[in-house]
Amino acid sequence: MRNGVSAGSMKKSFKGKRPRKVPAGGRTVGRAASRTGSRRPLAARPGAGRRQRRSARTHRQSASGRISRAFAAKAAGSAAARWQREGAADGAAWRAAHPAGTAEELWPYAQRAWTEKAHGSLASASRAERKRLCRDGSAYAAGIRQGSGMEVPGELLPLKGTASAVVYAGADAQRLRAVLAELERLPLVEIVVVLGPDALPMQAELLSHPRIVTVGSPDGYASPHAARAAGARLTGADTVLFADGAEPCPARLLGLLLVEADAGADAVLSDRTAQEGTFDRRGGASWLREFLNVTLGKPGLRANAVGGVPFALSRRALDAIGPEALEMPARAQASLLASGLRVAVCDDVPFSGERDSPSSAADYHTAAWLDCLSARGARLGFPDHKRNRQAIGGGGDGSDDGRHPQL
Amino acid sequence: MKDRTGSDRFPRRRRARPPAHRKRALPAGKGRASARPARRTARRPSAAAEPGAVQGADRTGARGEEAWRPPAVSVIIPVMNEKRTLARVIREAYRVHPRTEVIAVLNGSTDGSLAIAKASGARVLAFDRPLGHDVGRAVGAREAAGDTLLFVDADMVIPAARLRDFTEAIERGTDIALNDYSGPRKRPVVHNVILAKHALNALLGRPDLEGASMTAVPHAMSRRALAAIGAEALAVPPLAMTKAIHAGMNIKRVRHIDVGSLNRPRTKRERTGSLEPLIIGDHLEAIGWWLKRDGSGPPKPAAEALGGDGA
Repeated sequence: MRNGVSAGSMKKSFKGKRPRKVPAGGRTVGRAASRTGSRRPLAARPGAGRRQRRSARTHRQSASGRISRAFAAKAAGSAAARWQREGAADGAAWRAAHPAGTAEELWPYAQRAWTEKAHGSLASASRAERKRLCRDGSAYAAGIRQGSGMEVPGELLPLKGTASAVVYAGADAQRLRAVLAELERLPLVEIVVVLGPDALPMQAELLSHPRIVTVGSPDGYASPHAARAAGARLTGADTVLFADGAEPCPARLLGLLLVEADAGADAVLSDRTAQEGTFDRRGGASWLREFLNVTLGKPGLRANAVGGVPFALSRRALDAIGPEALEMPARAQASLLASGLRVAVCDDVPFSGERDSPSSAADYHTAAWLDCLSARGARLGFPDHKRNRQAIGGGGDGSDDGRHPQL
Repeated sequence: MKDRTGSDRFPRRRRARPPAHRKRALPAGKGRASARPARRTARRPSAAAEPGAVQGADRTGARGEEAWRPPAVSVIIPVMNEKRTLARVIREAYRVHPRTEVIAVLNGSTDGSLAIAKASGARVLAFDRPLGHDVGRAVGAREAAGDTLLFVDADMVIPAARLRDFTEAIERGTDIALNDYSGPRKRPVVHNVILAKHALNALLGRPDLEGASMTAVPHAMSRRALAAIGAEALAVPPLAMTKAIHAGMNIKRVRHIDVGSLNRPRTKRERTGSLEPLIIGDHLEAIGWWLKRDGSGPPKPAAEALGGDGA
């Protein structure tokens, strides 16, 4: 997980890396050197620098009181074992109390129990710790299965609030079924399926699912974004997950988006930049998305933006921008950032790959910049204090925010 | 002969004007302004007659003995403390075309660049304080008389043969000839200035220009383009480029000159006063103009302009 980290702060972290020290006079270090009597300086021996760096890192971590990676893995393993033991005990207790209980009845019980248990850890948890809690949820579920003798039919997520999902269903029924199968493994209060014109025949089948709500328009929707915006209007959950109806994503990964939004992020985005390759191959739409983030002071978001499914929004975010804003994703992104809402990127969750028509990206971004520039001035606070435009009779365009005070 | 003084100090044959190529080859500061070859006297006659055209400007070097012919090429060089390279830059500029005027816009120079510019025969517009980024180009362009305007920087010596590609492209009908330089971009993360240039070109429906921009030198433009966008727009190069695209100018990437490696590293400036916010702001100013131009709604770039991903 990462959020909008500025390029500046990234540079600082690199600057902070200590340069490797090479002993003066080429002093030989290590058992191999003394055995062979080598007088070659440390840096000259193959692999020596790497060994030294590794040992120095371990040393620093020990000196600063941090736990080593091996120790962390062992601790995580023991935590998982502990959660599994607790799950087994809780599962056995539930089984004893509900001898005729079904798996569908077991899941809400396990979900509630897990949320209560994880709640104490969740209050002050870092992103890494929240991610680990999701893994521990699987261990706890395994324990429940062991104790109750029944499989928990979904993911156990430490969610304080309610969650729902919105999916736009296109023409591919087979893929939609796979998508819904994953979504049904999540503790969602409802799944809103927005039916495109080609998916309307599936309505009867979909309504047989207890948590699915369908909505459709005989005229269809202008874009998948417009369809999801229509679906978002129907749900009142605390967190809303937006998923691609044509590309299934594992419930375990979708759960990370929900947990992060439930923990306080207003928008949690899937990571598309990792798939896009080098800058020159990414294309104009990606450049526009990234530049919009840069101009709104969030370069750390790279080319990730609302609209790239899957993503999750908090109720606060939906109320702030309005569900209809999602019809134009760049506008929604600009609105979120301009409102000071917290936007995070979940590195573990890949972008589904849903594509729009190329010209729509330009429309979305021009609308986004039009809003921002109208509200916050021609340069969005990027200063131009040193230019003497008077020497050339004004120059430039727009209001003179950030210009030389004498101009 | 031993004790000769004043005008008699040198034998008469030595005072004869040397051939043009020898004179141009003199090292920085050694040449005398009065010894310029005849082709450099091509100047707009009003230049000497209107000393107040640019406030605070001091024009020198005019020699009006011969019949005036308008220059074909005006090379505009903003200068701020560039004594190390200025003479060589001016020398290369004069080699671009037989009828070239070189306009050195000195702003806030205190290192003797003024004397070098005068000695090199350039037309000098001098300002006692820095004009700020890109304003020098706009000031120089306003005073230029050539049919082709070539913009170079004073800290970057680019051989005339390479510069000629830009002016010749203008002569062949291009309105704005850009340096085909997009910066290092075969990597996942690029500098925000490179990003800004690509994004603006994509938004304007010209992704084929990649990261080429009027922000980078060298670039050349026709008088027609200057008239269409106005000299003052050159103070904000992305805005000038946007206005040129809107005016339907013929803009091309002409030749790759790796200014990234020619630019001397300015680590102190990057630390204390990076140009990145200025250039991002410039691009936003350009986008703002594009969105509001003529009071019409946002323009629609060509559908194929943005490539595959439009989300």
